[in-house]
Amino acid sequence: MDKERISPRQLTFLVISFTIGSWIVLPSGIEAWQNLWLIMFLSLGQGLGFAYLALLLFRRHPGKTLFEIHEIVYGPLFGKLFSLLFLWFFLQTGAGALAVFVTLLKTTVFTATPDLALLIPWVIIVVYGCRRGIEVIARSNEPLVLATIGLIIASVFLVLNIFERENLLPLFNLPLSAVLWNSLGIAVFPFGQNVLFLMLLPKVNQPQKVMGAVFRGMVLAGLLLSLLQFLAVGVLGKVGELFVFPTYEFYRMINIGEVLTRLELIPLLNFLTMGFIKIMLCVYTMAVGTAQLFNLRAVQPLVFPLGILVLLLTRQIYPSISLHLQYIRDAQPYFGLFFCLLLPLLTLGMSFLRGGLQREMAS
Amino acid sequence: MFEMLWRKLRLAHQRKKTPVSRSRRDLSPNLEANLTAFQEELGASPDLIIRRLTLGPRPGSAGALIYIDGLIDKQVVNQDVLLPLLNEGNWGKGQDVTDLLGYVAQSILAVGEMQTETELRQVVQGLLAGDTILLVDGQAAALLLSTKGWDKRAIQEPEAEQIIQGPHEGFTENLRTNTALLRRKIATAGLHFEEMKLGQRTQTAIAIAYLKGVVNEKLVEEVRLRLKRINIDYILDANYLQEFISDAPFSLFPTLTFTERPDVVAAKLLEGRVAIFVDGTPVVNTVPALLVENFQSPDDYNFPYYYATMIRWFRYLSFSLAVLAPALFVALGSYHQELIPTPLMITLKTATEGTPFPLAIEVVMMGLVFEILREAGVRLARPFGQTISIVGALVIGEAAVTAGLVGAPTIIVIALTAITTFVVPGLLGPGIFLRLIYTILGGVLGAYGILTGMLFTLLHLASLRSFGVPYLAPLAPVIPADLKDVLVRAPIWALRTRPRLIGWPRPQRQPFGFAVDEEEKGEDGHDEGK
Amino acid sequence: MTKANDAGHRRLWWKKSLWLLLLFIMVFTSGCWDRRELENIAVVLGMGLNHTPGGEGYEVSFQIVRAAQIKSPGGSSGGGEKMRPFWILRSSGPTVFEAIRNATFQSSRRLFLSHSQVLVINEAVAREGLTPALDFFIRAHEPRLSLWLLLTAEDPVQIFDASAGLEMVSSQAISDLLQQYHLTSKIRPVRLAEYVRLIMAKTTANTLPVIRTIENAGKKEFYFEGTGVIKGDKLVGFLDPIETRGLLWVLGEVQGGVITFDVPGKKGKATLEIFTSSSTVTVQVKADKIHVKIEVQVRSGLGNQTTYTDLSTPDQFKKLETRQAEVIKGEIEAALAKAREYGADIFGFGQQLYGHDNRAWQRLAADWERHFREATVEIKVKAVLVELGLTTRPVLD
Repeated sequence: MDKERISPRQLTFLVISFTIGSWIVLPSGIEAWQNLWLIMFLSLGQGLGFAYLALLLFRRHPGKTLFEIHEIVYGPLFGKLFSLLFLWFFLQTGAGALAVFVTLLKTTVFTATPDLALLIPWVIIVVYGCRRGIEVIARSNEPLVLATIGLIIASVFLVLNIFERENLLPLFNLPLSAVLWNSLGIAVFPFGQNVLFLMLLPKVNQPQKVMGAVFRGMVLAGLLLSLLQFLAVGVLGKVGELFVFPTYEFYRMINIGEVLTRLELIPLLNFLTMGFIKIMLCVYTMAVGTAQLFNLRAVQPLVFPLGILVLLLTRQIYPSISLHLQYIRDAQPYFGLFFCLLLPLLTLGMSFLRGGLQREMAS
Repeated sequence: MFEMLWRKLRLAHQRKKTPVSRSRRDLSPNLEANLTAFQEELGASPDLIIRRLTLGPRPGSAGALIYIDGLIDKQVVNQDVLLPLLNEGNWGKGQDVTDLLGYVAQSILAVGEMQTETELRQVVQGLLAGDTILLVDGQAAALLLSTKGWDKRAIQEPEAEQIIQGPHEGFTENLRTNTALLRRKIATAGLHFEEMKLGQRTQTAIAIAYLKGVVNEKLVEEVRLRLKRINIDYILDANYLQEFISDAPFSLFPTLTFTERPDVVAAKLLEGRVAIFVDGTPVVNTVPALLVENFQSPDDYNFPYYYATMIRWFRYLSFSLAVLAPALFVALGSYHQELIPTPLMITLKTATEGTPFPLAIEVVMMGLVFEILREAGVRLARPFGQTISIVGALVIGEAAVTAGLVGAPTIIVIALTAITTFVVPGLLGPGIFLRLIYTILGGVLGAYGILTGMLFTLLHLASLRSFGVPYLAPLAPVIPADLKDVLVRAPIWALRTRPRLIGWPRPQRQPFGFAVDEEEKGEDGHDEGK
Repeated sequence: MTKANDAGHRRLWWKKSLWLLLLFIMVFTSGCWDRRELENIAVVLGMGLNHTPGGEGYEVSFQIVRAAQIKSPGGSSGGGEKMRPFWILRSSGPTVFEAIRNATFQSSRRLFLSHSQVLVINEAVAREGLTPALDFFIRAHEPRLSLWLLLTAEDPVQIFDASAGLEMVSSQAISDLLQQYHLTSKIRPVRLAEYVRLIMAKTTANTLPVIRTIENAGKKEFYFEGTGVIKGDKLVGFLDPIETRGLLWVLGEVQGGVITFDVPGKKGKATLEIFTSSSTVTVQVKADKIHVKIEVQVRSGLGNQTTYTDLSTPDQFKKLETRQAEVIKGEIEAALAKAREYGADIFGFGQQLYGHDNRAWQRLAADWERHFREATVEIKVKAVLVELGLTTRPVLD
């Protein structure tokens, strides 16, 4: 596990998958749904800011994961405390993504199937992938991301006959407060969640390219998501606000000559793969983090119990879709800010305070 | 309960491992003693021929020629061995020769290869390999003369790897013929062979081939190491090797290439791979093996590049169909009926109305029937083969539909799958197995089940390595430079680099441009770039 | 690793695999919950919505396809119930969803709604408000948003019962017909998706096509007649076919159809075939009053004439064009008058304002009916005649 290396390009792809992850199915900032594609650029800027902070931290402590940095900066006791907090963050992120996809599947295809039947294959895949390690995950991810990018670009052509410019108007009718609040919501989910990658950055084989890779990934993901939102609004209009899964409904509308229709399963499966990658990354970082937290030597045996843990807790943390929606709307910005802005900022600050000592250890 | 089973297995395994120790035994100076020893070792086999004669200037000593009938070339033995030996004129005039064998070897025999041996076991090995043994009373040594000659198959194109246009040569069961075929394709000094014998009772000759200067030395070392570690009774085919030296013996996917064509082996060696020959089988392995190689065929390079690219994409499509078609059919028909266009839906419904089995069962059943038909068709003698395939396809398929046991769409899907499976012969095994798994998954959890299965396969493939090279290269990790021979078949003049992870010691295949200046040729007259 | 450790690991591996295997078996043998075999589903091609005779609750009717009959038909009408390629089912309940589930009391197979093409709604239901009636069709996963919505004064079952002419099943026939609306442009087909989108624009009124049955030589056939105007989500009135086309002119959705009128100054009529048309609507607010400017451009060709005059000269063309523009303007004005009568903004003026001048819209939306009625509308039609067909002048002068 220690000798695994991923290339910067693979890191970019992982960032893209992780960012697209579950957002593409259940977005944040629904209140401003019609203008989401514009607000996203604002959020992207904020997200890049968060990422910059985190990457600065990595620069000051090269080759160290987030948990290791915590221990260096705060000392063993408080460091582990902070790491524990982040462990919970990873758990919740993974559980959230899992809840989204399970709900999606149950609402659309598997109405009568019990959750467990859907979750078991999930667990098997996630555990298998995580045990194989980040290299395998990264390698498998490459074709999946390319497929997703291809799908989104193809969507542009598939909706030409139902896209109406009128649906996008009016462009700026939201009060500033709403714009800011919603942009924050998106900045935090999905962009802010990329703080998870601080656990994986040491594994990149060219550390000086890490910052560029992460930024590139976030920008690309942001562009793709924005494009998809743009198309969805153009096709659905204001109705999109009603829907629980607006992008899914968007794909249901594709109809070219009554022949190319009923295609929504393909994007559905594609988004599922993105979800898989996101959850795999969450479980993997949890395993790595737990190993570092408790000074365990082996990471692989942890994957299976942690995977089961995520499975069991998903329904506890997100018992119903209505709670989930409310959470995303009202509570997640605060929660996300805490983990992707506040804590890294604090850690960075402490790291600077311990200035001289750090520089010695870093060299 | 499982522990008991486990213990028994271990015990059985250990019992098998009784060491076969043989003490070193030398020949004795006594001719009769040696002859008796041979007869003891080999039993009273009627094909063990002992020809006694007198060697040396008169009166001469007793000698014997021993060979195994059927393994030797009678012409050589009679003309080039016996004749000179029996010719009195060869023995010189009254010279005192103490080392008769040495004298015979130096001056009399007209045989190209010969060896002197003193250890009994080596002599017996030589005998079994087709050598003729010359013994002389009074000398505790034997002369092994290479007189190999036996009936062998002519060079013909392998049945399973036919191409439309190009060379139609194939390997045969004889190792030396095979290495010669390869030498004819690659006529440089850089082509090195290394031989070893594996299999305690079969003593099969194994040869490793590689191009020095192009191949990664560490790879050769690794191959050597893994082969040396094999400790088994018998090696009867190349597949035995594969199961021993493969990186992932339990994986569905082969991490070695199997081929019977010399042009394929030559091409692979030129990319920096290592080939493994096994005496007794025309199948040759090459390592490292990547997944995409199964989709490449020598045909591709004998046709124009645009045609070849199109055909290659047909292969990808066919394989996808072969593996996924029944599964998707089951998933769509059982879970996702809303995805089927309405007119098709009505047609399907009409076609499956009244069939007693669920769609998944139908598909699995008919798939099974087809596999049985296929296997029977291979085993049957030629006159019956045609009849059975017609009976199978038309009668069983047609009758099943008419009787209402199976729907017509099922037969169509199975037929399509059956044909497309053979488009990529290298992945026949994994293809059929995966198809079954996906069909079951599709029948249980619809498209989601198939997706899970495919993701699992993807993860597995991504974690596979063949002698250190990631199995999915150059698709994942994406190596753009290598994709020119994977996604398309770039024109030959564009194939300037070797696959990066395999041929990195000599990355450039050919220089830019077309003309080659005289200065670029190396000392041995060959292009430096090669 | 010591030998004991090795064995211990192997034991653990066996145990874990066993558990995994058990899980697998559990998943696979307890049955596939959502599996719907093709034989077990009843494919519904069309649905109808009506109130129950008592007035409370909904009665949903289904036109279910009989797959076997489609291929070897006994004809789509006559010969008794057994021969027809479809089956009509009625079921009722307090809400639409429950009514659909109650169909199990009658149907041996589970109803499968994803292939429904049409939803025929009784006018009485529409007058009370469509939102409660349509909620199921939007929320549920099976019905698709591509359903065609239709209104009828009769019981929807009558429509399904009607002969489908050349098709097998009337739902399919209706769907095909609606897709060819551009041949007359006197019908405005509306899919559920579009309906929902329009209804979310608070000021815009919806329109849905109206269908009824007529008797034709003893057989019942269906017939499209005009459009219903839906203000908010309630049916308030109707537009006749000409007025419907007037509406379509303004929306720019006329891409075909024919216009017949008297040739100016001659005896006889000319029928012009419309090739394309486009319209630009500008809505401006001045001192809280709405000013609408509608500009329509049409390209057509001469399709048929009953007069003996040669109409192929540029002069005649000009006359025809002017006359055509007048006719079109008349159609639009008719539609406008009707819309004003109902106070329903079917043209989407409000939506224009929403998009381009949102603040004004915010101000005026509350009282939109009044503003709509009082709006000054300027209509400009420019008609261009471009083709003659294959002949220039009539056979006989």
